[in-house]
Amino acid sequence: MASAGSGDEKAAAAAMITLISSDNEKFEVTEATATLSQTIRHMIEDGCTDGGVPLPNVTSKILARVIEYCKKHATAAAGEEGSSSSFSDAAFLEVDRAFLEELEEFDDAFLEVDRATLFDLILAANYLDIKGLLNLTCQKVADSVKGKTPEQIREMYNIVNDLTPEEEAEIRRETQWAFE
Amino acid sequence: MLPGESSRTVVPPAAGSGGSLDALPDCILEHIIGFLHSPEAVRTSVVAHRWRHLWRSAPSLRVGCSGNGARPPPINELREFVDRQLLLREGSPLDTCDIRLGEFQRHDFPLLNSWVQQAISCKAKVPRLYMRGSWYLVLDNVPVVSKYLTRLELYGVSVHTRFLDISSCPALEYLQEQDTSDCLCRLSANSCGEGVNSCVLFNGLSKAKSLELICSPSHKFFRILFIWDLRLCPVFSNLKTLLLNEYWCMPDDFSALLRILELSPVLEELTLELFSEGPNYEVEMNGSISPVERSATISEHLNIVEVKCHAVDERVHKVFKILCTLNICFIQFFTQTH
Repeated sequence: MASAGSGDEKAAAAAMITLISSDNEKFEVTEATATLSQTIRHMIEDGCTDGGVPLPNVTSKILARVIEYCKKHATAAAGEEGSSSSFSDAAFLEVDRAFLEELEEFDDAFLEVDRATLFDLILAANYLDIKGLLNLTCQKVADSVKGKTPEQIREMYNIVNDLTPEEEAEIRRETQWAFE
Repeated sequence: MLPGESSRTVVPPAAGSGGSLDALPDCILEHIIGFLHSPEAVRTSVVAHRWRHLWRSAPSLRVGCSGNGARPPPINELREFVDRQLLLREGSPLDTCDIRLGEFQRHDFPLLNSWVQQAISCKAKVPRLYMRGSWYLVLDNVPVVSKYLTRLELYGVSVHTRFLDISSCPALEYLQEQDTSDCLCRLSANSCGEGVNSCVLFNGLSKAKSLELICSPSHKFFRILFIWDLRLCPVFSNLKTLLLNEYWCMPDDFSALLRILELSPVLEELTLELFSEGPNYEVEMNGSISPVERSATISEHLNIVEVKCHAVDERVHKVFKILCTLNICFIQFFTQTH
Protein backbone atom coordinates (compact mmCIF):
# COMPACT_ATOMS: atom_id res chain seq x y z
CA MET A 1 0.00 0.00 0.00
CA ALA A 2 2.70 2.41 1.00
CA SER A 3 4.68 1.64 -2.09
CA ALA A 4 1.65 2.16 -4.30
CA GLY A 5 1.13 5.51 -2.65
CA SER A 6 4.61 6.81 -3.23
CA GLY A 7 4.42 5.50 -6.78
CA ASP A 8 1.34 7.58 -7.46
CA GLU A 9 2.99 10.57 -5.94
CA LYS A 10 6.03 10.19 -8.11
CA ALA A 11 3.90 9.98 -11.19
CA ALA A 12 2.05 13.14 -10.22
CA ALA A 13 5.11 15.03 -9.05
CA ALA A 14 5.87 16.27 -12.51
CA ALA A 15 2.55 18.06 -12.80
CA MET A 16 2.20 21.19 -10.68
CA ILE A 17 -0.98 23.18 -10.36
CA THR A 18 -1.18 26.84 -9.49
CA LEU A 19 -4.01 27.93 -7.24
CA ILE A 20 -4.83 31.62 -7.02
CA SER A 21 -6.55 32.97 -3.94
CA SER A 22 -9.07 35.83 -3.87
CA ASP A 23 -6.32 38.23 -2.82
CA ASN A 24 -4.28 37.11 -5.80
CA GLU A 25 -1.71 35.05 -4.01
CA LYS A 26 -0.37 32.11 -6.00
CA PHE A 27 0.14 28.68 -4.50
CA GLU A 28 1.99 25.98 -6.34
CA VAL A 29 0.95 22.46 -5.40
CA THR A 30 1.44 18.99 -6.79
CA GLU A 31 -1.39 17.42 -8.69
CA ALA A 32 -1.65 14.74 -5.99
CA THR A 33 -2.30 17.44 -3.40
CA ALA A 34 -4.66 19.45 -5.59
CA THR A 35 -6.78 16.47 -6.62
CA LEU A 36 -7.91 15.87 -3.09
CA SER A 37 -10.34 18.53 -4.19
CA GLN A 38 -12.88 16.91 -6.48
CA THR A 39 -13.63 20.32 -7.94
CA ILE A 40 -10.01 20.76 -9.00
CA ARG A 41 -9.76 17.14 -10.07
CA HIS A 42 -12.58 17.71 -12.53
CA MET A 43 -10.93 20.89 -13.79
CA ILE A 44 -7.70 19.00 -14.40
CA GLU A 45 -9.60 16.27 -16.20
CA ASP A 46 -11.25 18.89 -18.37
CA GLY A 47 -7.87 20.45 -19.03
CA CYS A 48 -8.75 23.89 -17.69
CA THR A 49 -5.98 24.46 -15.20
CA ASP A 50 -3.47 26.11 -17.52
CA GLY A 51 -2.55 29.52 -16.26
CA GLY A 52 -3.66 28.66 -12.75
CA VAL A 53 -6.94 28.01 -11.01
CA PRO A 54 -8.55 31.18 -9.70
CA LEU A 55 -10.45 30.69 -6.46
CA PRO A 56 -12.12 34.08 -6.03
CA ASN A 57 -13.95 33.06 -2.89
CA VAL A 58 -11.07 31.63 -0.92
CA THR A 59 -8.65 33.97 0.80
CA SER A 60 -4.94 33.25 0.89
CA LYS A 61 -5.15 32.68 4.63
CA ILE A 62 -7.75 29.95 4.23
CA LEU A 63 -6.26 28.53 1.05
CA ALA A 64 -2.90 28.12 2.79
CA ARG A 65 -4.61 26.08 5.53
CA VAL A 66 -6.56 24.00 2.99
CA ILE A 67 -3.35 23.21 1.11
CA GLU A 68 -1.66 22.30 4.37
CA TYR A 69 -4.45 19.80 5.00
CA CYS A 70 -4.35 18.39 1.47
CA LYS A 71 -0.58 17.96 1.48
CA LYS A 72 -0.73 15.98 4.66
CA HIS A 73 -3.63 13.84 3.52
CA ALA A 74 -2.56 13.31 -0.10
CA THR A 75 -0.17 10.52 0.79
CA ALA A 76 -2.73 8.84 3.00
CA ALA A 77 -5.37 9.03 0.29
CA ALA A 78 -3.06 7.48 -2.27
CA GLY A 79 -2.32 4.66 0.12
CA GLU A 80 -5.93 4.06 1.01
CA GLU A 81 -7.00 3.68 -2.57
CA GLY A 82 -5.71 0.13 -2.65
CA SER A 83 -7.24 -0.99 0.59
CA SER A 84 -10.36 1.15 0.55
CA SER A 85 -11.96 0.72 3.92
CA SER A 86 -11.61 -2.99 3.68
CA PHE A 87 -11.24 -5.82 6.07
CA SER A 88 -7.58 -5.09 5.91
CA ASP A 89 -8.26 -1.99 8.00
CA ALA A 90 -6.80 -3.98 10.84
CA ALA A 91 -3.69 -4.91 8.94
CA PHE A 92 -3.50 -1.45 7.48
CA LEU A 93 -3.73 0.04 10.93
CA GLU A 94 -0.99 -2.17 12.18
CA VAL A 95 1.37 -1.33 9.39
CA ASP A 96 0.65 2.34 9.34
CA ARG A 97 -0.46 2.91 12.87
CA ALA A 98 2.25 5.43 13.52
CA PHE A 99 1.38 7.33 10.40
CA LEU A 100 -2.32 7.32 11.19
CA GLU A 101 -1.67 8.50 14.70
CA GLU A 102 0.40 11.29 13.31
CA LEU A 103 -2.42 12.13 10.91
CA GLU A 104 -4.88 12.23 13.76
CA GLU A 105 -2.63 14.51 15.76
CA PHE A 106 -2.30 16.71 12.72
CA ASP A 107 -6.09 16.87 12.34
CA ASP A 108 -6.54 17.75 16.01
CA ALA A 109 -3.97 20.50 15.80
CA PHE A 110 -5.43 21.64 12.50
CA LEU A 111 -8.80 22.22 14.14
CA GLU A 112 -7.32 24.52 16.78
CA VAL A 113 -8.63 27.60 15.04
CA ASP A 114 -11.07 30.35 15.87
CA ARG A 115 -14.67 30.02 14.86
CA ALA A 116 -14.49 32.31 11.84
CA THR A 117 -11.56 30.34 10.42
CA LEU A 118 -13.36 27.06 11.07
CA PHE A 119 -16.45 28.23 9.20
CA ASP A 120 -14.36 29.61 6.35
CA LEU A 121 -12.59 26.26 6.13
CA ILE A 122 -15.98 24.55 5.95
CA LEU A 123 -17.08 26.84 3.13
CA ALA A 124 -13.83 26.26 1.25
CA ALA A 125 -13.96 22.49 1.79
CA ASN A 126 -17.51 22.44 0.50
CA TYR A 127 -16.72 24.62 -2.50
CA LEU A 128 -13.57 22.68 -3.37
CA ASP A 129 -15.33 19.43 -2.56
CA ILE A 130 -12.74 17.98 -0.21
CA LYS A 131 -14.75 15.35 1.58
CA GLY A 132 -12.29 14.57 4.35
CA LEU A 133 -11.81 18.22 5.29
CA LEU A 134 -15.54 18.88 5.15
CA ASN A 135 -16.27 15.96 7.43
CA LEU A 136 -13.49 16.90 9.81
CA THR A 137 -14.62 20.49 10.17
CA CYS A 138 -18.36 19.75 10.27
CA GLN A 139 -17.78 17.07 12.87
CA LYS A 140 -16.00 19.69 14.98
CA VAL A 141 -19.04 21.95 14.87
CA ALA A 142 -21.35 19.01 15.57
CA ASP A 143 -19.25 18.07 18.58
CA SER A 144 -19.59 21.59 19.90
CA VAL A 145 -23.39 21.38 19.96
CA LYS A 146 -23.58 17.80 21.17
CA GLY A 147 -25.54 17.52 24.38
CA LYS A 148 -26.67 21.14 24.16
CA THR A 149 -30.27 22.28 24.34
CA PRO A 150 -31.67 24.38 21.49
CA GLU A 151 -31.40 27.43 23.77
CA GLN A 152 -27.75 26.71 24.41
CA ILE A 153 -27.07 26.26 20.70
CA ARG A 154 -28.65 29.64 19.98
CA GLU A 155 -26.63 31.27 22.68
CA MET A 156 -23.41 29.64 21.62
CA TYR A 157 -23.67 30.71 18.00
CA ASN A 158 -25.62 33.94 18.40
CA ILE A 159 -28.57 32.59 16.53
CA VAL A 160 -31.66 34.75 16.81
CA ASN A 161 -34.72 32.79 17.75
CA ASP A 162 -37.20 33.99 15.17
CA LEU A 163 -39.84 31.46 16.16
CA THR A 164 -42.85 32.77 17.97
CA PRO A 165 -43.68 30.88 21.16
CA GLU A 166 -46.67 29.43 19.30
CA GLU A 167 -44.52 28.21 16.44
CA GLU A 168 -41.99 26.69 18.79
CA ALA A 169 -44.76 24.91 20.68
CA GLU A 170 -46.14 23.62 17.40
CA ILE A 171 -42.79 22.22 16.27
CA ARG A 172 -42.28 20.61 19.64
CA ARG A 173 -45.67 19.00 19.32
CA GLU A 174 -44.85 17.78 15.82
CA THR A 175 -41.64 16.21 16.98
CA GLN A 176 -42.66 15.39 20.49
CA TRP A 177 -41.18 11.92 20.14
CA ALA A 178 -37.74 13.48 19.91
CA PHE A 179 -38.16 15.59 23.03
CA GLU A 180 -39.34 12.89 25.38
CA MET B 1 -24.86 15.46 1.68
CA LEU B 2 -22.66 14.53 -1.17
CA PRO B 3 -20.11 17.25 -1.66
CA GLY B 4 -19.48 15.80 -5.09
CA GLU B 5 -22.92 16.74 -6.24
CA SER B 6 -22.34 20.01 -7.94
CA SER B 7 -25.92 21.08 -7.45
CA ARG B 8 -25.21 21.19 -3.74
CA THR B 9 -21.77 22.69 -3.93
CA VAL B 10 -22.15 26.25 -2.86
CA VAL B 11 -19.75 28.99 -3.82
CA PRO B 12 -18.76 30.63 -0.54
CA PRO B 13 -19.54 34.28 -0.12
CA ALA B 14 -16.52 36.41 -0.99
CA ALA B 15 -16.59 37.93 2.47
CA GLY B 16 -16.35 34.52 4.11
CA SER B 17 -18.55 33.34 6.92
CA GLY B 18 -17.82 36.25 9.22
CA GLY B 19 -17.77 33.69 11.99
CA SER B 20 -21.52 33.23 11.87
CA LEU B 21 -23.12 29.81 11.71
CA ASP B 22 -26.00 31.50 9.92
CA ALA B 23 -23.70 32.32 7.02
CA LEU B 24 -23.33 28.63 6.22
CA PRO B 25 -25.65 27.29 3.53
CA ASP B 26 -28.38 24.80 4.38
CA CYS B 27 -26.53 21.85 2.89
CA ILE B 28 -23.66 22.41 5.31
CA LEU B 29 -25.93 22.78 8.32
CA GLU B 30 -27.60 19.55 7.25
CA HIS B 31 -24.21 17.91 7.03
CA ILE B 32 -23.38 19.09 10.55
CA ILE B 33 -26.72 17.88 11.89
CA GLY B 34 -25.98 14.53 10.27
CA PHE B 35 -23.14 14.06 12.74
CA LEU B 36 -25.51 14.39 15.67
CA HIS B 37 -27.04 11.30 17.06
CA SER B 38 -30.77 11.13 17.02
CA PRO B 39 -32.81 12.47 18.71
CA GLU B 40 -30.49 15.43 19.13
CA ALA B 41 -30.58 15.97 15.40
CA VAL B 42 -34.36 16.31 15.43
CA ARG B 43 -34.30 18.67 18.41
CA THR B 44 -32.40 21.23 16.35
CA SER B 45 -35.74 21.92 14.68
CA VAL B 46 -36.57 24.50 17.35
CA VAL B 47 -33.30 26.44 17.19
CA ALA B 48 -34.75 28.91 14.69
CA HIS B 49 -37.11 29.11 11.77
CA ARG B 50 -34.47 28.17 9.29
CA TRP B 51 -33.56 25.05 11.27
CA ARG B 52 -37.04 23.67 11.41
CA HIS B 53 -36.74 21.13 8.60
CA LEU B 54 -32.99 20.81 8.21
CA TRP B 55 -32.78 17.49 10.06
CA ARG B 56 -35.10 15.88 7.53
CA SER B 57 -32.50 16.28 4.83
CA ALA B 58 -29.46 15.46 6.94
CA PRO B 59 -27.36 12.99 4.97
CA SER B 60 -26.82 10.69 7.93
CA LEU B 61 -29.16 8.99 10.30
CA ARG B 62 -27.63 7.66 13.48
CA VAL B 63 -29.92 5.91 15.86
CA GLY B 64 -29.02 4.18 19.08
CA CYS B 65 -25.35 4.94 18.74
CA SER B 66 -24.72 7.43 21.46
CA GLY B 67 -21.12 6.35 21.52
CA ASN B 68 -19.32 6.00 24.85
CA GLY B 69 -19.65 2.23 24.50
CA ALA B 70 -23.13 2.11 26.01
CA ARG B 71 -25.37 -0.78 25.04
CA PRO B 72 -27.79 0.28 22.37
CA PRO B 73 -31.32 0.89 23.64
CA PRO B 74 -34.02 -1.75 23.26
CA ILE B 75 -36.39 -1.44 20.36
CA ASN B 76 -39.21 -0.30 22.66
CA GLU B 77 -37.43 2.98 23.17
CA LEU B 78 -36.71 3.45 19.50
CA ARG B 79 -39.71 2.09 17.68
CA GLU B 80 -41.71 5.27 17.31
CA PHE B 81 -38.64 7.32 16.93
CA VAL B 82 -37.06 5.50 13.99
CA ASP B 83 -40.40 4.99 12.36
CA ARG B 84 -41.26 8.66 12.39
CA GLN B 85 -37.84 9.77 11.47
CA LEU B 86 -37.66 7.56 8.41
CA LEU B 87 -41.19 8.52 7.46
CA LEU B 88 -40.72 12.27 7.89
CA ARG B 89 -37.60 12.28 5.77
CA GLU B 90 -39.94 11.64 2.87
CA GLY B 91 -37.27 9.72 1.05
CA SER B 92 -34.62 12.44 1.10
CA PRO B 93 -31.31 10.78 0.24
CA LEU B 94 -29.26 9.20 2.97
CA ASP B 95 -25.54 8.68 2.74
CA THR B 96 -25.18 6.81 5.95
CA CYS B 97 -27.78 5.04 8.00
CA ASP B 98 -26.57 3.60 11.25
CA ILE B 99 -29.19 1.86 13.35
CA ARG B 100 -28.14 0.11 16.53
CA LEU B 101 -30.60 -1.84 18.54
CA GLY B 102 -30.55 -3.64 21.80
CA GLU B 103 -33.27 -6.04 22.81
CA PHE B 104 -35.99 -6.89 20.34
CA GLN B 105 -38.49 -9.66 19.88
CA ARG B 106 -39.62 -11.88 17.10
CA HIS B 107 -42.72 -9.83 16.48
CA ASP B 108 -40.50 -6.85 15.71
CA PHE B 109 -39.13 -8.52 12.60
CA PRO B 110 -41.60 -6.98 10.14
CA LEU B 111 -40.90 -3.52 11.50
CA LEU B 112 -37.14 -3.98 11.38
CA ASN B 113 -37.40 -5.29 7.87
CA SER B 114 -39.35 -2.25 6.83
CA TRP B 115 -36.61 -0.03 8.28
CA VAL B 116 -33.99 -1.80 6.25
CA GLN B 117 -36.02 -1.43 3.09
CA GLN B 118 -36.76 2.22 3.84
CA ALA B 119 -33.11 2.98 4.48
CA ILE B 120 -32.19 1.36 1.22
CA SER B 121 -34.95 3.18 -0.62
CA CYS B 122 -33.52 6.45 0.72
CA LYS B 123 -30.58 5.63 -1.54
CA ALA B 124 -28.42 4.90 1.45
CA LYS B 125 -24.90 4.15 0.38
CA VAL B 126 -23.79 2.86 3.72
CA PRO B 127 -26.53 1.26 5.77
CA ARG B 128 -25.29 -0.28 8.93
CA LEU B 129 -27.53 -2.43 10.99
CA TYR B 130 -26.28 -3.42 14.35
CA MET B 131 -28.47 -5.67 16.43
CA ARG B 132 -27.78 -6.81 19.91
CA GLY B 133 -30.64 -8.91 20.99
CA SER B 134 -31.37 -12.40 22.05
CA TRP B 135 -32.69 -12.98 18.56
CA TYR B 136 -31.07 -12.76 15.26
CA LEU B 137 -33.12 -10.50 13.13
CA VAL B 138 -34.43 -12.50 10.25
CA LEU B 139 -34.37 -10.39 7.16
CA ASP B 140 -37.08 -11.01 4.65
CA ASN B 141 -36.13 -12.88 1.60
CA VAL B 142 -36.48 -9.74 -0.45
CA PRO B 143 -33.65 -8.91 -2.79
CA VAL B 144 -31.68 -5.83 -1.82
CA VAL B 145 -32.07 -3.58 -4.81
CA SER B 146 -30.08 -0.39 -4.89
CA LYS B 147 -27.77 1.17 -7.38
CA TYR B 148 -26.40 3.42 -4.65
CA LEU B 149 -25.44 0.89 -2.02
CA THR B 150 -21.66 0.75 -1.71
CA ARG B 151 -21.21 -0.80 1.66
CA LEU B 152 -23.45 -3.06 3.63
CA GLU B 153 -22.76 -3.99 7.19
CA LEU B 154 -24.95 -6.33 9.13
CA TYR B 155 -24.38 -7.36 12.68
CA GLY B 156 -26.54 -9.87 14.48
CA VAL B 157 -28.67 -10.33 11.44
CA SER B 158 -29.84 -13.48 9.82
CA VAL B 159 -31.37 -13.84 6.46
CA HIS B 160 -34.45 -15.81 5.67
CA THR B 161 -33.48 -18.95 3.80
CA ARG B 162 -29.95 -17.96 4.65
CA PHE B 163 -29.39 -16.03 1.50
CA LEU B 164 -29.19 -12.35 1.00
CA ASP B 165 -29.72 -11.47 -2.61
CA ILE B 166 -27.47 -8.56 -3.47
CA SER B 167 -27.42 -9.14 -7.18
CA SER B 168 -29.08 -5.82 -7.86
CA CYS B 169 -26.47 -3.67 -6.13
CA PRO B 170 -23.96 -2.89 -8.85
CA ALA B 171 -22.16 -0.30 -6.72
CA LEU B 172 -21.60 -2.59 -3.78
CA GLU B 173 -17.92 -2.67 -2.93
CA TYR B 174 -17.93 -3.94 0.57
CA LEU B 175 -19.99 -6.38 2.52
CA GLN B 176 -19.47 -7.25 6.10
CA GLU B 177 -21.46 -9.56 8.23
CA GLN B 178 -20.44 -10.13 11.75
CA ASP B 179 -22.05 -12.17 14.37
CA THR B 180 -24.59 -13.19 11.85
CA SER B 181 -26.17 -16.56 12.09
CA ASP B 182 -25.34 -18.58 9.02
CA CYS B 183 -25.78 -15.57 6.85
CA LEU B 184 -24.28 -15.56 3.44
CA CYS B 185 -24.67 -13.31 0.56
CA ARG B 186 -26.09 -14.70 -2.53
CA LEU B 187 -26.81 -13.86 -6.02
CA SER B 188 -29.85 -15.69 -7.04
CA ALA B 189 -29.61 -17.39 -10.36
CA ASN B 190 -32.81 -16.03 -11.82
CA SER B 191 -31.93 -12.41 -11.17
CA CYS B 192 -28.69 -12.65 -13.04
CA GLY B 193 -30.15 -10.72 -15.87
CA GLU B 194 -28.85 -12.52 -18.86
CA GLY B 195 -29.48 -15.90 -17.44
CA VAL B 196 -26.33 -17.20 -19.04
CA ASN B 197 -24.19 -17.08 -15.99
CA SER B 198 -25.57 -19.31 -13.35
CA CYS B 199 -23.09 -18.16 -10.80
CA VAL B 200 -24.96 -18.21 -7.56
CA LEU B 201 -22.87 -16.66 -4.89
CA PHE B 202 -20.06 -14.60 -6.19
CA ASN B 203 -21.47 -12.55 -8.98
CA GLY B 204 -22.60 -9.82 -6.67
CA LEU B 205 -19.11 -9.61 -5.30
CA SER B 206 -17.17 -9.67 -8.52
CA LYS B 207 -16.61 -5.91 -8.43
CA ALA B 208 -15.45 -5.93 -4.83
CA LYS B 209 -12.11 -4.35 -4.06
CA SER B 210 -11.83 -6.23 -0.87
CA LEU B 211 -13.31 -9.43 0.39
CA GLU B 212 -13.39 -11.17 3.69
CA LEU B 213 -14.58 -14.72 3.34
CA ILE B 214 -14.84 -16.41 6.67
CA CYS B 215 -16.98 -19.40 7.26
CA SER B 216 -17.12 -22.08 9.86
CA PRO B 217 -17.10 -25.82 9.18
CA SER B 218 -20.80 -25.93 9.95
CA HIS B 219 -21.31 -24.24 6.63
CA LYS B 220 -20.34 -27.35 4.75
CA PHE B 221 -23.28 -27.03 2.50
CA PHE B 222 -22.22 -23.58 1.48
CA ARG B 223 -18.71 -24.66 0.86
CA ILE B 224 -19.91 -27.14 -1.67
CA LEU B 225 -22.02 -24.44 -3.23
CA PHE B 226 -19.13 -22.02 -3.23
CA ILE B 227 -16.81 -24.45 -4.89
CA TRP B 228 -19.38 -25.36 -7.42
CA ASP B 229 -19.97 -21.70 -7.93
CA LEU B 230 -16.32 -20.85 -8.35
CA ARG B 231 -16.19 -22.87 -11.52
CA LEU B 232 -18.55 -20.45 -13.16
CA CYS B 233 -17.54 -17.42 -11.25
CA PRO B 234 -16.60 -14.25 -13.06
CA VAL B 235 -13.19 -12.76 -12.42
CA PHE B 236 -12.82 -10.58 -9.32
CA SER B 237 -11.55 -7.79 -11.51
CA ASN B 238 -11.06 -5.19 -8.76
CA LEU B 239 -10.11 -7.36 -5.87
CA LYS B 240 -6.98 -6.09 -4.17
CA THR B 241 -7.18 -7.42 -0.66
CA LEU B 242 -8.50 -10.78 0.37
CA LEU B 243 -8.87 -12.50 3.68
CA LEU B 244 -9.67 -16.18 3.83
CA ASN B 245 -9.83 -18.57 6.71
CA GLU B 246 -9.07 -22.27 6.88
CA TYR B 247 -12.45 -23.00 5.45
CA TRP B 248 -10.93 -22.39 2.03
CA CYS B 249 -7.91 -24.53 2.69
CA MET B 250 -9.47 -27.71 3.95
CA PRO B 251 -6.90 -30.42 4.45
CA ASP B 252 -6.02 -31.97 1.16
CA ASP B 253 -8.41 -29.87 -0.80
CA PHE B 254 -7.03 -26.56 -1.88
CA SER B 255 -9.04 -26.29 -5.05
CA ALA B 256 -11.10 -23.40 -3.70
CA LEU B 257 -8.05 -21.44 -2.62
CA LEU B 258 -6.29 -21.98 -5.91
CA ARG B 259 -9.39 -21.12 -7.88
CA ILE B 260 -9.95 -17.88 -5.99
CA LEU B 261 -6.34 -16.85 -6.55
CA GLU B 262 -6.66 -17.67 -10.21
CA LEU B 263 -9.74 -15.48 -10.44
CA SER B 264 -8.07 -12.48 -8.79
CA PRO B 265 -5.73 -11.00 -11.38
CA VAL B 266 -5.02 -7.74 -9.54
CA LEU B 267 -4.81 -9.09 -6.01
CA GLU B 268 -2.18 -7.31 -3.95
CA GLU B 269 -2.64 -8.65 -0.50
CA LEU B 270 -3.67 -12.08 0.70
CA THR B 271 -4.20 -12.94 4.33
CA LEU B 272 -4.89 -16.45 5.52
CA GLU B 273 -6.32 -16.75 8.98
CA LEU B 274 -5.89 -20.41 9.81
CA PHE B 275 -7.60 -22.22 12.67
CA SER B 276 -7.44 -19.11 14.75
CA GLU B 277 -9.55 -16.03 15.19
CA GLY B 278 -8.02 -12.62 15.65
CA PRO B 279 -7.29 -10.06 16.60
CA ASN B 280 -4.41 -11.64 18.47
CA TYR B 281 -2.54 -14.47 16.84
CA GLU B 282 0.27 -16.54 18.24
CA VAL B 283 1.97 -16.73 14.91
CA GLU B 284 2.03 -14.19 12.11
CA MET B 285 4.21 -14.75 9.11
CA ASN B 286 4.86 -13.10 5.82
CA GLY B 287 5.63 -15.22 2.82
CA SER B 288 8.13 -14.21 0.21
CA ILE B 289 7.09 -14.34 -3.38
CA SER B 290 9.71 -15.32 -5.84
CA PRO B 291 9.85 -12.51 -8.39
CA VAL B 292 11.51 -14.70 -10.97
CA GLU B 293 9.55 -17.87 -10.74
CA ARG B 294 6.23 -16.28 -10.01
CA SER B 295 3.46 -18.67 -10.79
CA ALA B 296 1.43 -17.63 -13.80
CA THR B 297 -1.77 -18.50 -12.01
CA ILE B 298 -1.45 -15.80 -9.36
CA SER B 299 -1.77 -12.06 -9.64
CA GLU B 300 1.42 -10.35 -10.71
CA HIS B 301 0.57 -7.57 -8.26
CA LEU B 302 0.49 -9.85 -5.27
CA ASN B 303 3.12 -8.56 -2.89
CA ILE B 304 1.89 -9.45 0.56
CA VAL B 305 0.95 -12.92 1.67
CA GLU B 306 0.36 -13.24 5.33
CA VAL B 307 -0.49 -16.28 7.39
CA LYS B 308 -1.94 -15.87 10.86
CA CYS B 309 -2.47 -18.85 13.05
CA HIS B 310 -2.37 -20.24 16.52
CA ALA B 311 0.45 -22.64 15.91
CA VAL B 312 2.29 -24.00 12.94
CA ASP B 313 0.91 -27.49 13.00
CA GLU B 314 0.53 -30.07 10.32
CA ARG B 315 -2.56 -28.40 8.90
CA VAL B 316 -0.80 -25.10 8.50
CA HIS B 317 2.21 -26.88 7.13
CA LYS B 318 0.04 -28.26 4.33
CA VAL B 319 -1.08 -24.77 3.44
CA PHE B 320 2.54 -23.66 3.27
CA LYS B 321 3.25 -26.54 0.96
CA ILE B 322 0.52 -25.63 -1.43
CA LEU B 323 1.59 -21.98 -1.38
CA CYS B 324 5.10 -23.15 -2.12
CA THR B 325 3.90 -24.66 -5.37
CA LEU B 326 2.90 -21.10 -6.30
CA ASN B 327 6.40 -19.95 -5.39
CA ILE B 328 5.15 -18.26 -2.25
CA CYS B 329 7.55 -19.43 0.38
CA PHE B 330 7.59 -19.29 4.12
CA ILE B 331 11.30 -19.88 4.51
CA GLN B 332 11.45 -18.89 8.14
CA PHE B 333 9.05 -21.58 9.00
CA PHE B 334 11.01 -24.28 7.29
CA THR B 335 14.32 -23.23 8.76
CA GLN B 336 12.89 -22.83 12.22
CA THR B 337 11.19 -26.13 12.57
CA HIS B 338 13.24 -28.46 10.47
